[in-house]
Amino acid sequence: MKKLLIIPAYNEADNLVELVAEIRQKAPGYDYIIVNDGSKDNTAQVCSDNKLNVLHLGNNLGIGGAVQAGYLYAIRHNYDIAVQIDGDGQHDPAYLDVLIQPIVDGLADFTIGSRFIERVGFQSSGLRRAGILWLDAILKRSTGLDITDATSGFRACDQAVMHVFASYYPKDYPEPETIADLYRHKFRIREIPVVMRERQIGVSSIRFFRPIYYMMKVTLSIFVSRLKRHKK
Amino acid sequence: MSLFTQIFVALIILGFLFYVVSKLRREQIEFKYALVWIISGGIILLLSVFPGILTWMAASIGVGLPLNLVFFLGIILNLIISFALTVTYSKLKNMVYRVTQMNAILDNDLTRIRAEIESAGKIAGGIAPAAERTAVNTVNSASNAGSTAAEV
Repeated sequence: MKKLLIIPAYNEADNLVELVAEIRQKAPGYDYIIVNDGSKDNTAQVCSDNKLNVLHLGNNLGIGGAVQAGYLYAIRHNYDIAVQIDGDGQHDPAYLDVLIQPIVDGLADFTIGSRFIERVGFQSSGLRRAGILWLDAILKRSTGLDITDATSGFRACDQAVMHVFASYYPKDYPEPETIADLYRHKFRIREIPVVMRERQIGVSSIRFFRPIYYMMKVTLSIFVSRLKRHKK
Repeated sequence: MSLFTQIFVALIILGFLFYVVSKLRREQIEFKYALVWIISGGIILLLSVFPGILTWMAASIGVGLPLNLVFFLGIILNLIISFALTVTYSKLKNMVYRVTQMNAILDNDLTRIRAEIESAGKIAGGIAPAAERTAVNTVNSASNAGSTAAEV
């Protein structure tokens, strides 16, 4: 079974080498692809110096476009499972096997690593937690799914889901909306308890967003997702 | 509307239409998008030549001042055009995204293939692939060279 890690990276030059070393050590069965989303730091240089496997996006597409590039790569190179993992060291590669197990066993098509099931490790700050709780509730209202970590960027999927993501992936703040999309396509979604770390170096992109735009956009997009035509 | 106003408006519109056509002639705008401007310019030209149409329309819809009808129709037209532009923009954005993504994927392929060629060349005794040969030929010869070296 071919397994790919998709690592979206914007200005993560300081984290990447360490992350790839950690992946090789803790998860040797996985290939990886870094998606350099038009970084302004020396990410490109670091990648070529260390011969890292990387997609260099000529334009800064944002997280959605970057991750989608990873899924396109996964399809092109015929991977069976693709896992999204942040480039900032938040997600521990040690949990990869647990995360993909339901997919390997054929019990799920899409899994989400959640830090709020066992409530261990970094739990995020108060306001952000409140936002996540709100989105969990919206997803519950809209789909009936019991999701605890709707914004988690630590997610695994099979080939069928990759094709859905390749044809449509939200451009900004994509995670909660994609859960609703996959529900509409009748995929089996499962959450897996994981422990997350505080990001190592750098600043989370979440710090810059206008929280009001974020909450409105994501909330509306979940409902609009329900209105879309059923494709599968 | 005074005769002066009529001529003034008609001249502005004629100048505008002339500009649109010259843009079309130089292939700087797409016909599809020029059409809406030509049609709306034509309508305004018609109204400036026959202002009676406007007065009649305003009276029959119940708009007191014909000028208010002009403003109203102008705003509606603007909204329609802006919305159409939003749709076009979204489509273009998706295209740019896909082009950027595929370009990066092809670049990744190219980098890997180049590295393979280089390492194969080194095994075969440092023969660098000739620049004149096509990429396909280079890949073939490089992999041949690689297998020869492996057999030895």
